[in-house]
Amino acid sequence: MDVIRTEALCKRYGNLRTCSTALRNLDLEVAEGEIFGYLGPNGAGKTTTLNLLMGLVRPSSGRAWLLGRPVRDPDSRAGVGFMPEHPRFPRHLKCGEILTACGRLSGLGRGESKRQAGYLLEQAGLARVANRRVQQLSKGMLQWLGLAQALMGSPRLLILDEPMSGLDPVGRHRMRDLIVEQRGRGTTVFFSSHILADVEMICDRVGILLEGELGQCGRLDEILDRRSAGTEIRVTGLGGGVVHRIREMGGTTRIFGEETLIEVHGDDCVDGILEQVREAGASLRSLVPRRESLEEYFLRQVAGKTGDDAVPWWDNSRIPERAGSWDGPEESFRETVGAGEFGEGRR
Amino acid sequence: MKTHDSESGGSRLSRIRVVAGSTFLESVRDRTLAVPVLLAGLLIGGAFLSRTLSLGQHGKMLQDFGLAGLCLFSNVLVILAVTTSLSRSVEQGTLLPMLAKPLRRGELLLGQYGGVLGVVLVSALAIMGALCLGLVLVGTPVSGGLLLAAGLTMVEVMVVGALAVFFSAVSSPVLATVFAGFAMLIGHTTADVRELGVHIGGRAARAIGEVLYYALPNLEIFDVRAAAVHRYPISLEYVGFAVLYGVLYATVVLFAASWVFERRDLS
Repeated sequence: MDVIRTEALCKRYGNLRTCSTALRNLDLEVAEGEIFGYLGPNGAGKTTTLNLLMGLVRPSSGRAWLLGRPVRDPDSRAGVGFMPEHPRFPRHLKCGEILTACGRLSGLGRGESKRQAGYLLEQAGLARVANRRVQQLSKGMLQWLGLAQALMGSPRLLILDEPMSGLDPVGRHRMRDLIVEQRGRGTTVFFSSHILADVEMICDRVGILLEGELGQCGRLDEILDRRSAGTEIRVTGLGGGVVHRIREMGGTTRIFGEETLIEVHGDDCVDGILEQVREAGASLRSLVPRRESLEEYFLRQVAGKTGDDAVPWWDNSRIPERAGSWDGPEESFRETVGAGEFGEGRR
Repeated sequence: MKTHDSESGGSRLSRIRVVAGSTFLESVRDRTLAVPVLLAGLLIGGAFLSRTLSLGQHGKMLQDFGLAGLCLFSNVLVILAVTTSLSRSVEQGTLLPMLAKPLRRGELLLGQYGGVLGVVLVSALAIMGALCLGLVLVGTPVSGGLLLAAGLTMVEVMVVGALAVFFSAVSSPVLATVFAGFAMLIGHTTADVRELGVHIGGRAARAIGEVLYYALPNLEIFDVRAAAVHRYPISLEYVGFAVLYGVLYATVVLFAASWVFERRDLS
């Protein structure tokens, strides 16, 4: 059964004159027991999608179901845990009180709610601040409290909005482990993230949202080009003449002290280069075939959609040269960063 | 871990109770109750001072001040507490974790409303306790009329609170406070609004005056303070009618607030 399903889901903001489309015709299906990574640049419509699924905003058109129930029915959220981006709670309530209340709202009895709250505070590393008020918690602690409240009631589906944001590397590692652990218990996890390395590590499937439209969606090994994108060869004791010949064969070289790093695109000239290395009497340290990463794929998709390279906005070379040629803030911004960056998906 | 008791996330009443409990705790810890304690202290102090200043009318003076203070303070408290707890939580997003549970928005509003009314009730009891103590100290017996007047004031607070919930559901905290404050003031002058329509003349003015008279809350109905202070009889039929009016008005306003809030985008 699909635990999440959407059909032509759309969300528009503003009135007729200032209308902007945050999400366009989203058709999405997430199967039971998988970890689904929902990716996209800022303003692509990820949070809007999650808010639509949780019934926090109303769709302009289209339909969505959680665990087989339409999202407009509040009972569709029974068995669902949601963690918003930057979770916030009433300032004067204590961590334990918040979790107990969330447990009761999820349908747990008083005793079971307290028991689960204690267990999850322990799991989230918040046991020592259980009696502390929310206003005294750090940003990272709030993030963990947000996750703990989502886990109250042992949900069948977890929806997490940027769960890794605001966490240190240790926290990110723990969060990844926890998500994988949840899948082990049969929970479906749907989360949005900017941290592509984490997504690549733990997700079964990913969907990439660009300017409110779902681009690619599928298993990582299906959407990534797993053919060798190139080879990295590390050698020591390579002479200048050989380096020149390797460059002529199509390899690029970089020298780090004794070591030379040779980067080759494709597989064709690898054998020839290795022969040159052997003939020169140099020592081969490593040979690593390089495959396309999710990050490279993601940047390629973004560049393809916006019709622009992934050039950062602070690139000075793209500032118009002639002073006084600015046509107004929006036009000049389009000119500077490319029209695609100014898509309707931005809010 | 055990899973949840039921797919529907518990009973409606228990969910409302959970929200009300959280709202009550949050409001109490926000030091909202510090003001009534201060007011109660002032009332007790006033009871002693009035002995020398009121030319023998100290009992009446104390009742008059006490009931007026109770009415004014409770209305201001309910407006501030509702707009603080509801509008601010909408604005700051503290509602999202709760709304992500199987909780209807109407239940959330009712829970918050109930929690705030609980805070106002506790503070009203503190003020009434202080007032009764003051009356005993100056040798004036506590009458049933005084308690009826205080009870009707609580019904008035219930209506004003419902209006504050409605305005919080549709606007920002500042606007909700201003609108609810205006509604409270106008609620004490609805008869004048109707008279104004007649005074201006013309069918349109009269019709507008009439519509406003019935649409706006008639808070004067709940004012039996003068009768209580001067020990005039207050009929139970009148009290029953006022309570019924207050409960019906608050219910309609809360339904309207819930209807609007269900359709609002929260993110």
